[in-house]
Amino acid sequence: MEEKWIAGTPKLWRDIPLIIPFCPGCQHGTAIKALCEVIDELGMENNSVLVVGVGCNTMASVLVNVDSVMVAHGRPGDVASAMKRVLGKDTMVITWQGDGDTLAIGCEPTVHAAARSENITTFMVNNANYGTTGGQLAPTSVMGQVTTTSPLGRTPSHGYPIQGSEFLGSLRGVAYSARGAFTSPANYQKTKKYMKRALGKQKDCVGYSFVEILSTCPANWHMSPIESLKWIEEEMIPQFPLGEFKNVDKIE
Amino acid sequence: MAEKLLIQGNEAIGWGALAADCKAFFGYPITPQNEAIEWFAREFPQRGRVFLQSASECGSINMLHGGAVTGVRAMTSTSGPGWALMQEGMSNLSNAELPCIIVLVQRGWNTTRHAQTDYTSVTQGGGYGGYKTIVLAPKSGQELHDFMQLGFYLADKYRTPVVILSDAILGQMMESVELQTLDFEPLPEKDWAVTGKKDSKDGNRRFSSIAQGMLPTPRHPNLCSFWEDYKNKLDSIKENEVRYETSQLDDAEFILVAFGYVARVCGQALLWARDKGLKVGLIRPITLWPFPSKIFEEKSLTGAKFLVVEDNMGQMIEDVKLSVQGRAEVHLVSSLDRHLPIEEGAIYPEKVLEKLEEII
Amino acid sequence: MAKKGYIKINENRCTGCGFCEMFCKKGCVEMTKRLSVLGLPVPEFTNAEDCIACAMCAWMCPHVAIEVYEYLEAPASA
Repeated sequence: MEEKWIAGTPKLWRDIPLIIPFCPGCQHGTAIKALCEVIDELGMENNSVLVVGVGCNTMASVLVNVDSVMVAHGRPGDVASAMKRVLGKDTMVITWQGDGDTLAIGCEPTVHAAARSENITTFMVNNANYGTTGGQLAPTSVMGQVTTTSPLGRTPSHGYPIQGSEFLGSLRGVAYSARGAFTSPANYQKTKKYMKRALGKQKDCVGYSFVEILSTCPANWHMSPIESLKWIEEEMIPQFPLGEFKNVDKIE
Repeated sequence: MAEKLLIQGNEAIGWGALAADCKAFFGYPITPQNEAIEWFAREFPQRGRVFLQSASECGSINMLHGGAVTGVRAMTSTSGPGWALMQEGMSNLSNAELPCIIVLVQRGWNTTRHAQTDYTSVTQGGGYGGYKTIVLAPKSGQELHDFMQLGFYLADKYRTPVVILSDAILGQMMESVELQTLDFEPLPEKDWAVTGKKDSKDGNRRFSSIAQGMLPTPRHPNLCSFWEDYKNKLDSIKENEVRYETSQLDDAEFILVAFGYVARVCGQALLWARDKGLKVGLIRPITLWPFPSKIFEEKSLTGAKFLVVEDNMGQMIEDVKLSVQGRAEVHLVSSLDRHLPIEEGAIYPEKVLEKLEEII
Repeated sequence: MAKKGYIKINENRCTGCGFCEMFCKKGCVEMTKRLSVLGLPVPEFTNAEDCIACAMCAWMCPHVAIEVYEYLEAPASA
């Protein structure tokens, strides 16, 4: 009986000897899978360079079968800017970062790469805390969120979360800014569409493109995987609404 | 004969980089290296090369990472405070084994005036992890120009960052510089460069990491195997790349030791001392790391005394003391011996001669 | 009704999060109490009859542990 493979392991996914790269229910794997699919669908496997920072996102440098660079915590924006300028428009330069990597320690590279309208694409996986180090307060932790460094919940004295997509979308040099999530199969497809559009802006040399992806972190949120999906819908999305915040074909 | 220009040391860096076919410059303004970044901003884009101004020196060093990882010759320049911000990047470039050049135009701690206060920081590896980088110390505009080429050659040969240690006097002084292109041995191909899989010879993806030893790679399955390779590399540099210059050393009973602009000050003191019949010689380390320990070891056995002259509070003197292992007297002329006790002061040859006569 | 497709679960990758069970509209995947060699609870493809090879389980699987196949022609009745 004939059969056809429909979905599953993307072509660009590398099977590595490490047993489990992510905690149960962590959607970082989903995000990296989407990235593999998008690069493949654009036919850019051999012309892409992936730059990753430090955090759970670092695993992308091991899992995606394209040329990759792992760099200092927060610095993919700088490294990618330089690589793009040296390699030229035919090579797609993508940064894969966490929320701390992009908006805390990496705020300077991110904001300035966006302001210079560098022709690169940044994907920021936002899990509202520092996953690798054990669940500390992140610039994207929501108000009231309990973390190991805000044990009584995030209060105004900790400051307020940074809405990365809206913030970057307000910069003149940015061509595309959007926020997606993987809370449902429909959202999975929508987020993939955002990712594809962002890379399209780079392909068309429009300017800096940015996609934020909300992701679960059940281990550090101390929830079951199913509960953490619900938490994204109930607690994160109201403070981090999904959608496109900027989409232009020319920077003016 | 190659063209000759009357230029500042900071501009000689640029012409030297061009002669070495450097393709990309990343930098951030800081006194006293501003003429360098301005030179690259002016000259590089019109030659189809990359110039990019960063938002900080943390940015510069990581942009340099991005430039170097593509396999092209790339560089940055800075001064002391910027150099401090670059230390994390230096560790990462060393771990990732990426060839590149960092020109450090030293200033006096946090004044914008001249000094040689960053010797220890550049030679000991100022960041984390216990790395070392080759450090070249030119003494003139011509050497700044030529060492840029030598520096890129050594960087590519050993896959390591190289520091060119200049200072405010060398950087700001105008001298006649011959724009010569130097020849070097052929270099290995950069098959590790990350440029997209289309350029990969075996079709496999390339992966450059600042955490060699953590994420297993075919070359380094674990941290200790990386350390072993890295140590072998450092040993090979120490074995093969020590460079220094000597003057009238054969019969010397008193040996001046100096690097950079101070070596020229000592050159004058040496002439005056010889005129007075004093048996004085000079050792000028050109590679500050690897330090030319052997020549010090040899000379310490002849009973010679050493006078280290450096425009700081005494940094290289520690390497000299380590090299002579207590077998010889080691004295110091430091920033405290400047002709004026202010930041505009400098170490004059008169002072060096005076100290020499004191020791004798 | 003819079978439309089936899924394969790679227990060496699965971490037992349960998203496949949650998002399968046809109730074809069920979490079990059986533990994999990694010591994690694994799902099983229990209702092959109703699978329509929609691939939602694979989309939502964070650990890339599910492969989805569609039958190109109806299988001969047993």
